[in-house]
Amino acid sequence: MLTFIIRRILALIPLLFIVSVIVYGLILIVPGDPAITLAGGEEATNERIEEVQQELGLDRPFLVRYGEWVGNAVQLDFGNSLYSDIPITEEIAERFPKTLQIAGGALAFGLLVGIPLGIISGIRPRSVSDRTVVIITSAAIAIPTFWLALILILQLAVYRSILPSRGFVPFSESPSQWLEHMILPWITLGTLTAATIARQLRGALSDTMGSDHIRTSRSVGLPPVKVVGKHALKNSSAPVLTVVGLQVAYLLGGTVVVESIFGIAGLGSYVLSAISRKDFPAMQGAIMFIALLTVVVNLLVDISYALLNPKVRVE
Amino acid sequence: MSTPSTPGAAGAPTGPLLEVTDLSVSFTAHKQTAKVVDQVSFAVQPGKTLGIVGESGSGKTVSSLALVGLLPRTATITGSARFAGQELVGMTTRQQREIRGNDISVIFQEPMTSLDPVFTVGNQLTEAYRNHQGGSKKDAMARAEEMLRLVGIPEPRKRLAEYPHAFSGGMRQRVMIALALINSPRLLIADEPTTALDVTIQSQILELLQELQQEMGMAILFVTHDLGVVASVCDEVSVMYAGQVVEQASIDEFFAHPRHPYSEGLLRSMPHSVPKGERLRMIPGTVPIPSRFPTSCRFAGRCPYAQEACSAAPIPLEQLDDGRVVRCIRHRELVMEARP
Repeated sequence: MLTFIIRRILALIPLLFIVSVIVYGLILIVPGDPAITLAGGEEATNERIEEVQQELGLDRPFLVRYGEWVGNAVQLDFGNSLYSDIPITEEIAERFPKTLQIAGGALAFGLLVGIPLGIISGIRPRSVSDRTVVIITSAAIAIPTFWLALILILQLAVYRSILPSRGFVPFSESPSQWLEHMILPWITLGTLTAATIARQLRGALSDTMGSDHIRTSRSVGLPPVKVVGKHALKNSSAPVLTVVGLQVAYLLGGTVVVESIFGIAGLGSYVLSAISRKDFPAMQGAIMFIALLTVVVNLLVDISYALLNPKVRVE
Repeated sequence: MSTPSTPGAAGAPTGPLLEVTDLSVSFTAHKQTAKVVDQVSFAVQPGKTLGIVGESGSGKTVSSLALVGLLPRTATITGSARFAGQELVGMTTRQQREIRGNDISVIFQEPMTSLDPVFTVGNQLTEAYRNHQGGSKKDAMARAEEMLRLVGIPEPRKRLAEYPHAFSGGMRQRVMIALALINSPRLLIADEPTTALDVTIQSQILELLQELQQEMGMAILFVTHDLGVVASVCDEVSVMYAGQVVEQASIDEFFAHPRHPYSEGLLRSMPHSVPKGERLRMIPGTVPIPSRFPTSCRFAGRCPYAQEACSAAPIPLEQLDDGRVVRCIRHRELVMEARP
């Protein structure tokens, strides 16, 4: 098991290398030169632009700049923001907890709603309850996040003042207000996750329910709680885990929309403003951080495969 | 509770352990109903083995799984199946669960896929034991180890901690047998338990089943298409064709003098009943699908002895003086031999 984990971790190195090339290479693709922006935009003189370029090191060859950036990034130093001149790592550290709270809560919502729906639907395919769940989840997948957010805000915050429409209150300040502010972002972001998990579990579970070993479990007289809850669910968990891994990436990216709708200063809105300000170091740092996070989550998914399926451990 | 509440049945020395009378099973799909098993009757004596033989599609597996409620929900079961005085047909699912794995156990055809791949063998065995007997995990583990030893698995204590993929097909079938017998059932339904195994492993498993039967005293309902297997393990045989019983006899009588043309055909199709160098025999044609079962003799289309009368009216199951049962209007005039 330990060698399995070590092998998987080593496999991440080339992956992260490729990601870093793409992230750093973005600077070549994205239109606009940060030096021009910093030098004063349209009115900047050529000398001023060259000066700024030298300050930022932009006059040096790409590979040299990339090497230096990677060297620092490995030590979690992404440089300073061009806009605020604060170390990017500090800015991420300040904003990321909020994003984590949104994404984590949305994932929890997705699991809490998606798993029961998937079970209801998967144990008896083509029944009335299954068809109902399929219709609901299809709708949930089709609904765009921003539209869902607006409807929720209108219904729950504007027409009826049940929940606040935007903002963030730290948990340490007031747990109840924190919860009130988090509910709408969680539902907004978690609905697609719930629907995706439900559908994946439905497919896996309905396959498993028809398998020989489930018949065996029934033949020894186990009650449905054990047949479904223990044997069928554990056997159906691998595809669901895959989807959870993919959903984490979606949730981290999805916070960009949710944070700007609900006015929460998290990592998503940080990336968004970094892009609009052509703050390349901030952009690269934040994206690299999100990529690292995604890769780590997928590593955890891989490890849990091995925990769930004894055969994977052998291979 | 493994003792049935019905009076007079449990300890009765005479009378069958399982008596199936006019059992019918139909499946409904897309508003069409197909009667897959049609008024089947048979009896299993305590401690004895009844073989149910027939080709694929004869309804032999369906009629045995119907007894313990292991058929899909779309199945409708009518008739009667009395097990130790208890009526199995029409039982609630809760009652069925109490009997399943406890008084009546099942082993299946597919040893490779019949065990749960993500739980250890020990986990599955102890779960089955504690489901009916309760008790501590430790006691259950001891019982599981005893069962693995009983079914001939070396180093049982060590193997309890392993997953099914670490076992070969034959070993998995042994584990499956241990799982089925861990609660000392009175009836074991063996649904083609050796079909998926190598010939050498087959005979080992058959021997094991016979040993365990002597040791534990359970009756076996042995579902198979293999007459060779029937000859070596069964006391009686019930031949099924297209959802009906066509012949019932004790093993010796059956192999010496089959009474039904289908039985004769099956016996003559056994590879070793043909002299070396000659062509293997077979019954031409296939079993009709349930929705096209004829109302008259269902075998007439493939029968070498068929006459007009065979296709005129339903053929009754006839009880003969010597205790045998046969469904053929010509059985008195025909003289049939197992070997051509």
